[in-house]
Amino acid sequence: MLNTMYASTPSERKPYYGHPAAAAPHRGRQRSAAPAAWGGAASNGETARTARDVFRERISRPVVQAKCVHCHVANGVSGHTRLVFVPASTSRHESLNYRAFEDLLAVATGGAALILDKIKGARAHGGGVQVASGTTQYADMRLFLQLLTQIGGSAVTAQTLFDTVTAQDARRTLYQAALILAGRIPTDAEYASLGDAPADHGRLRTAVRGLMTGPGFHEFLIRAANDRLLTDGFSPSFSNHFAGFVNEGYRLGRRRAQEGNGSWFTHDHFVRGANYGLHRAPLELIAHVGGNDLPYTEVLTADYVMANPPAAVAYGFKSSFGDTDDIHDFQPARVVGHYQDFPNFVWDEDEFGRRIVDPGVATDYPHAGVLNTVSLLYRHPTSPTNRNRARARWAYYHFLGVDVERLGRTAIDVDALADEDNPTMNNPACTSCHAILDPVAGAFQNYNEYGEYERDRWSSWFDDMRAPGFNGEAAPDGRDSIEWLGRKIAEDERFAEATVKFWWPAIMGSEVAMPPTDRSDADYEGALLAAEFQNAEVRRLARMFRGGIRDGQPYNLKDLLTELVVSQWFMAEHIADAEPLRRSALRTAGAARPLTPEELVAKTEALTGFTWGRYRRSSGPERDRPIGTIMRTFNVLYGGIDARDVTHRRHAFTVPMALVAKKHAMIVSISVVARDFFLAQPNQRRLFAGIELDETPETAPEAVKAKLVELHGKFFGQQTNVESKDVLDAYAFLADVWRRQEDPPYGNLPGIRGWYEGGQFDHRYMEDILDEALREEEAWFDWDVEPLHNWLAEITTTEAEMRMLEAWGMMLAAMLMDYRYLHL
Amino acid sequence: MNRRHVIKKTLALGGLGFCLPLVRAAGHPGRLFVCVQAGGGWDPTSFCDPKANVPDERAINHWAEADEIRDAGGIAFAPFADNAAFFGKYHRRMLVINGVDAQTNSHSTGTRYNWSGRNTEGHPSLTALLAAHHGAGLSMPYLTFGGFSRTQGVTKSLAFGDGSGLRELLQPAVYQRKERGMIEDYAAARSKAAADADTQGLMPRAVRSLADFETAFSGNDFSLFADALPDEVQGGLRTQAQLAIAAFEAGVAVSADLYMSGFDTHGEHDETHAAALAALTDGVDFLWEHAETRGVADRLVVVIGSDFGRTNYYNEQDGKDHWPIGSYVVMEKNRPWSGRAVGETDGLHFARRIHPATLRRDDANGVIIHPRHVHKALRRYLGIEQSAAALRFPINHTEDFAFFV
Repeated sequence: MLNTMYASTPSERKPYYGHPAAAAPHRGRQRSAAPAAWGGAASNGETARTARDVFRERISRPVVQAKCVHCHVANGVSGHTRLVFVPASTSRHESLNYRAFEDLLAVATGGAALILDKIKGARAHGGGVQVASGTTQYADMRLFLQLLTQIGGSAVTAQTLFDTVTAQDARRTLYQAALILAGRIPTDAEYASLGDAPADHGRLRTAVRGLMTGPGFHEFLIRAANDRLLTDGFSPSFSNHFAGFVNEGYRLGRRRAQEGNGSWFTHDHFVRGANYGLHRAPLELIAHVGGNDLPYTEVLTADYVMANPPAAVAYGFKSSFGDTDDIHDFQPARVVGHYQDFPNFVWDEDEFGRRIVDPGVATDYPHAGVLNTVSLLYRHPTSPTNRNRARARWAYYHFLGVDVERLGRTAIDVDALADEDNPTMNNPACTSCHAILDPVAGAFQNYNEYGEYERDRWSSWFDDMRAPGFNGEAAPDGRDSIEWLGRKIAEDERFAEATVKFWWPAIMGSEVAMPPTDRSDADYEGALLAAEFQNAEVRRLARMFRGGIRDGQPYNLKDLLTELVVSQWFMAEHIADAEPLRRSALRTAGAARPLTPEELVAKTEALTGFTWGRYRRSSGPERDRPIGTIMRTFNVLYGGIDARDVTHRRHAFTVPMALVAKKHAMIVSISVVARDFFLAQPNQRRLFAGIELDETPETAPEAVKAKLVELHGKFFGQQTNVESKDVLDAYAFLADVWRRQEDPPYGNLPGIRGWYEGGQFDHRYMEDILDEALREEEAWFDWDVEPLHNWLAEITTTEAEMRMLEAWGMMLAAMLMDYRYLHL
Repeated sequence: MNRRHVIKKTLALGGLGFCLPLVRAAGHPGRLFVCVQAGGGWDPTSFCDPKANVPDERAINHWAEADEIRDAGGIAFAPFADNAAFFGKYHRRMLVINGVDAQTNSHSTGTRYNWSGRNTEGHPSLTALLAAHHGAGLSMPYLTFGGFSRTQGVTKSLAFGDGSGLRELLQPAVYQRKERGMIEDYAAARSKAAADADTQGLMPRAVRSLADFETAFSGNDFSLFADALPDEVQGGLRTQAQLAIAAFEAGVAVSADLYMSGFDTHGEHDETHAAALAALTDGVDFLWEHAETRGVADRLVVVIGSDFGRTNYYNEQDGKDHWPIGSYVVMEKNRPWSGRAVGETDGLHFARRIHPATLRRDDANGVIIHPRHVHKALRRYLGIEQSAAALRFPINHTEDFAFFV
């Protein structure tokens, strides 16, 4: 969108071809594509058929008997609904079931639409998606119901939704993908790799996939996974079950007492670091699996836990970390030092605290990927009455794509909820969900409310609850049930769809649309259409993911992320018609959204090296990776989440966000121009290489314009030239600013104090150019600015230079608060 | 000229201060709305729908073993936590609606139902609808501090977190005022040009995004809010109240969701729930007091509620599990409908059928009150039933309860 809006030459519009269903890999013999629009079939030679013919030939066996009758049967889960069938074992079942459809349509207003919505999972259909829209079977159902009722409808369908939509070009897409996936802008080489054919998705795929490396991608994986799991808002701690944690804490505590304050840091570092390692374990595992091209199923089957150096010590694992002080270095480890029955520990206590002398026999601790990480379990605590059902609910949601709460009736009668005759086993209002949920809850049987492993937590799992299991299969003995569950979920076909849904928001900026439930809502049709299309996309991508995307390895996350980026939904840029239904359905299509606070910080850091308010050191887990003012103070205000009270990102730009952006722009800009023009050597400059302050609008206008072209490319991902309107406008502003400074000479010079006083400065920004003596004095850390004063005082400059410096600073500030900088 | 000279010059000029244009927004002269969400499922039987223990039944409340149900101006309350002070002080401005059946034991469904009036996904909160109608054009009409705050595109929500750093946003930043003005004018012109450009062919999301940015960038009423901010925040629900009232006072917001968790007391119910209720009533008391101090109390409408209720017995951990029957407390000064409790539950906290017009128990012709009934009545009373936003998400097939007549 942006490059067309701002660029001097609009990008070429590229129509899409086909639709998700058509783009799916061909699996076996298929009938020719069925007409997708309501009424299409009837004008396609089908009018001679009767509803009864279609029912007998295409509906009775493959739909009613193969799908519906499992629930919609007397005494079945849906035996209470208005549509109850008889099984094929009943004589005249075709006539009776045909009559069931007739009866419903006779009494239900909009009954045909209701049925069509229900079978594709909408309107809170307890059975979820049974017949996906876009399939031949769905077209058959539509034809059947149409013949039965002569219904009509909109011409826009999931298959034609993108017919009038054009995609943005590859360069724009790469720019946005780099900001999302790598926290930076593409390199010239990456742009060049796209070649001269911007519509070539092959090259784009390669370039996008190439972004998925390094710390920026790692941060993306952590952030996106936390957006789903929300574990960062909660901080579990190591317990006494871990003798390594207790005894290392004791050892360091004793040293602290014996050696004085010097050891405080070490003791504190260990305890904080270990708990940080415990708390970050599930996110780091996902990042490890995704970042290292491991089969994504490993997030549930990994026989290891990710640990940083202190956490590894706490686990009793002998690790081979290069830098044992780096609490952000996570590597696979195993829990070998977990001990059961800690009341039986042999303790020793002295003036330095307690330590475990003999912890007994170590537990054979199970590993089941993220499923039994303390952090994820702690996020969803349980109780003796909840019995891990919340954990099961979220396991279904995140890893099977099933929202159990949408399976059953949304409203449940109070008598059922108050039923004390074991309702989850006996009351039909409860069993439709609990029959699915409770066995999985049982598989978490060895974990207490804090997420700690207690092998003998229960002498046996509750006999008034369904036995631990999954999909009708019983789990093995208790100790292994969580590992077994992880394997079973990973083997389940739904895991792939769940994975697409899990990562979709990280790229698209909104969750996969759920089918709406109430036809009276004004946007019902559009919301339904969006849900149909997106769910078809989810299924298409899941099929590819399971088998390996474009000859890649099965379950490769990078390949999946690549496909999400090059998808119609993400790349949508223009829409050619004003069809209200289409516009409503495409309400969230395209990449246009504000950068998240994390993305804004990363982009600025990548471009300028500057992070507003970053300390050289700080306390807490971010000590070695300071995060700056935006993440420390304005994260939630800028639309971010705290993963505790605020759990959904907000993508509407607000007045306070604009103020944050303006302040950020002011502080960054002056620091950057001062550093590049005055303090850095020519080869150390980041944005202003190749231009000097004596090159002004008067002496070197072309050089100034050329620099503006370069900055537009870096800041906005925009291809311009010195004749582009954007560049000429920017030049006019810069020249205006520069000229007006001729008088008065000094009054408007930029304030340098903001660099290093008042918490605004980036204490790491000068690290590569400070002289050695100053760095050794750690002036930045200690807030001792006198050495800096002295250092700056030795540098001389002229009034003219200061004029041009400020002109560039103001230009930079304006660009840093531009829509194009602050949005994808 | 050397760098030291530059610094001295700059320091001398740096004290001019940064000030955004003091143009007051249109503001909102009408009522102001706060929903206080008690996250986790509160226990009305220990609050506004008090229950004594029933002979031959398991104990509903331990406090009932040694104490009795109290009354303040005709509103019954439990002698628990700091209820006595709260009900004693505020009963005149309260309408307690008891026996509200959320028809679920699920936190997410209960939260959604109690704060949107609909138990399915895809609907905005009441607070969002109020902001959409009464706060159109304001820079931050809807404040949220957590809980259920879905907007479904009808308005923009703004989350503050703990509110730290808000004043910092208006501190001078590097350039002098005139230069800052030049920079912002240029950037604003660029944004306006983009938003005013032919957006006919852009995807709806991009059009919306440009419009949002242009509005936000030119918003100039944040300084009014900043001026109203307290010098010190008091923590917890009180901080949220301070920030909401400051925004109301400045005329930049019309609705807010205050949120506190801690009510999901599956174990050690009494101790934990008492602390949570005390914090809740303290926060609401502070909200009213602060609103009074800042001159907006007469315009304030407060709705307090939760996901659902808690069981009518204790579990083995002396906790209480989920129970679908809950309550709302609606508060406003000097209203004819306040100072009473409506809705009814039996001795074991089962909802009774209530006649929508008489609000009395009517086992034959009454209906069970659900959150959708309360929301329908609130929408009408608060003047948004026929608003464009509310009509996008209607509450159909629902009886009209005369709660506010």
